[in-house]
Amino acid sequence: MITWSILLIGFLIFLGSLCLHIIIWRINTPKNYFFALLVVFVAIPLAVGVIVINWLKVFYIAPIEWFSILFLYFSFVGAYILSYPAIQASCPSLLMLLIIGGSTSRGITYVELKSGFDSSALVETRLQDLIDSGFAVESNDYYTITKLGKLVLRPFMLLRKLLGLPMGRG
Amino acid sequence: MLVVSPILILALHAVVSRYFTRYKPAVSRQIVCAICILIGHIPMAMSLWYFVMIDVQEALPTILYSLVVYNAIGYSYFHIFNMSETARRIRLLYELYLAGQLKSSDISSSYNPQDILLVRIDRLISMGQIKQADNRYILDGYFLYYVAKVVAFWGNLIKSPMMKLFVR
Repeated sequence: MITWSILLIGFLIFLGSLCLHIIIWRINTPKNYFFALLVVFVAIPLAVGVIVINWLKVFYIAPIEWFSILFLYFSFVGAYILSYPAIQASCPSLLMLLIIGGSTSRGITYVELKSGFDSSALVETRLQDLIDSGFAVESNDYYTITKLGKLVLRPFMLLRKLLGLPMGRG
Repeated sequence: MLVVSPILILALHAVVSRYFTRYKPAVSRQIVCAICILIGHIPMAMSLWYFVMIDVQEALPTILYSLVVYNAIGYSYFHIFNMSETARRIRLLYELYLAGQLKSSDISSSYNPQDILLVRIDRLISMGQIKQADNRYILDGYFLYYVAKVVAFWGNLIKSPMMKLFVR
């Protein structure tokens, strides 16, 4: 059975990691954000957790309760890390909604909507992100996918295959 | 049951997605995915009832825990699916994977900014979030608009302003 303390501890660990994430990002947004998110949301909480359990012996939590706490915590972390690209990469769909929602009640034409976007940033910044994350390399204006890039891409290809869908249009 | 819930959602989605692709292709794929996640609440609730429901008062933290974890997993699944459908980086990786290597000019011709915007307009219309009237786009639903506002607020909080693509 799950107790209120399991819910509370899982939530508090996530809240602590979130605060740390906000502080670090406000000081200096990491270039390789995926690695930085893993450090903030996985490595640091696990290290702190091990210290709290083994050295300080502040309070006792049974292994099965730790499993429940970590399962709750990582379900939050997974949800947040997967939401992060929409924030970091300035999701065009959400941006469109903000532009349309911020226009007059008559709405906005396609030309007006398009003029609001920095066209080059829509593709070029994403390409730069792929390079910064080690998913692609650029040499003499030629871009090539890396092994890491293929490793990231293949699960998406498998998912689309399982769902009977062609690859998304991006 | 919670541990295997992503497999359950995937299996359900694989069946439902194939049905909609064949018989109702106009329905937004994101809506189909969200419906599958919502349907997944039923087996979750049934297994919870069967395994742990003795006293509702006593089982309240378990019910809340299951609800929170299942929805967090469902939300994560939705994002993974949505990335496979809409993410520019995944599309670019796929183009590079297919071609072996590409020049930046080749990338611009096969995946240009105009396509990116038009595909998203179509998607938002099929999701009932915007509509076109007299050649102008206006909001039709407010759900994703408020999501966008929350994301913009959070982006500002972590100094990753969402409006950086907006040039005016």
